[in-house]
Amino acid sequence: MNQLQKRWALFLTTALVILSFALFALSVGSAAIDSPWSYIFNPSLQGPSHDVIWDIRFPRVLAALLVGAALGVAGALAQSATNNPLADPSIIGTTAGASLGATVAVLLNVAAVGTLPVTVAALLGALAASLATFAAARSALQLVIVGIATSALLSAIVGLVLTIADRPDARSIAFWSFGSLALVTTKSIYLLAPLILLGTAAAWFISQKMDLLALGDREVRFLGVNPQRMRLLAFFIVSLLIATAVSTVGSIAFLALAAPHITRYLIGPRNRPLIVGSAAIGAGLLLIADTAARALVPPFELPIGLITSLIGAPILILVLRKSGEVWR
Amino acid sequence: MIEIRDITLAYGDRVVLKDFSAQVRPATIAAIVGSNGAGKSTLISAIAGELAPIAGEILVAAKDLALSNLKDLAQIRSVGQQSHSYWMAYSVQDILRLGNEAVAPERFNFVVEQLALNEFLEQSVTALSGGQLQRVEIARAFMREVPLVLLDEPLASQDLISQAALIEFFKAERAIGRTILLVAHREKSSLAWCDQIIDLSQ
Repeated sequence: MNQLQKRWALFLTTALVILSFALFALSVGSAAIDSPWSYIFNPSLQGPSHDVIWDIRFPRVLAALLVGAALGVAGALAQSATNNPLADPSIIGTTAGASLGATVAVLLNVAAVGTLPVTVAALLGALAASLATFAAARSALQLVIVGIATSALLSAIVGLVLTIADRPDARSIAFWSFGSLALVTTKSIYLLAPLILLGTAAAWFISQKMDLLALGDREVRFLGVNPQRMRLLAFFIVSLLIATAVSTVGSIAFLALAAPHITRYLIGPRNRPLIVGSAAIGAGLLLIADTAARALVPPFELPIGLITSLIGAPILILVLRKSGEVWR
Repeated sequence: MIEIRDITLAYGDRVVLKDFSAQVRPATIAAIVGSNGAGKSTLISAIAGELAPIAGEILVAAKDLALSNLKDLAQIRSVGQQSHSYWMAYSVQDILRLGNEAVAPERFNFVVEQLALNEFLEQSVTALSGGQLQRVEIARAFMREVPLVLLDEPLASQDLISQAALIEFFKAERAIGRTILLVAHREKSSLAWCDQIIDLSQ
């Protein structure tokens, strides 16, 4: 098989797996439903089971797919923009910045959780934090260290602010640090879908040019292109995707780091297919993780961040051991 | 092709090259030689438009570098760096085409063949040896057909056979009008194939 056939085969397989698993995810949950498949394949069939499947589970499945795709794309873009395999939005400060922006907006009564103004506040926080990290770092390695410090600082501020504020509508600290899809409604989808589709389309649009950054900044300038300008645009898109995800479902660990690495192992490093692949892998992984989180020990919800790490980490380690990437 | 007039180059307070002048004619091969720290790579950097002189001026293709932007410069010159490290497993073919998308297939094949990169095209850049990677960087510099090519120690990691092949390739490029300026860390006596030697140790 050549590269193109391989990509298509993988894309179709992933799409098929995601679709089948999405149907399965609709059929399981803490509420016991007799013959759920009849409601799934016949959405016009009315009754309480219809409401559980189509008003509670369906938006949650969609949200998992959308947020997973957003995290995958954001991770791929962050790694390519900084030319750094460790550049995960939760390491370079973007995620913590988004949490802080959203928390402050909620506590100052500017907006309510799950609304557009909170996402805008999260976007401002995400952008400020990632740009500050990038401006302070003088090398690829420093970027990671400064980013970890920035993230720690901002997360600590979020924790302190929430502890002091102690308001029920601010949601718990656990929500902002581990994430949860439990409170997703159909309304959340109207916010998530357009912003994440917009961010992903923008990422796809700049992806081909982003390949240049693999040559290193010096060479990019020799070719007549300003690498900082490209990076700024990429950081804006990463911040948009992360802000949308964080302001709706909190911060979810690990996916943004793992999805692009898994994808590069499967189809190579070129950014255009990488963006599409990371979206699909991210969406699939988060859907599996969220289904496990709500269906493994009903009626309890397991923290989704733990499941994404539990599934993502072993795959990541396996992939890195076999990949052709060389980190010096 | 290159006109350097009384330039002084410095990194902060540290002056590397003072009141230096030189000229390189079009369609020639010129080598910059000199001891360690004499400013060979710094001079290449200045001619590439990366480092602005604190005094004097540099003209390339009759254009003042101080007045040229990144895009203008990319039309005039290309640069082959001494070494490069990649972490993502791009294929050699992908790397050679990055930034050179418009290159004609004949040109692409010619450069690849001259630099003996045919058998590596599908291989990952992360799997190449130092010498192979350096030839990839040289090939990248020659893909776009710009008038001036700057090379930092292009022969450094090459064995004798590859060195001879590279020198033949440089001569062939000179014959079609290209100007090549390279840093050479070697005896002047072994640079008889160059048209001009710019010695920075004097």
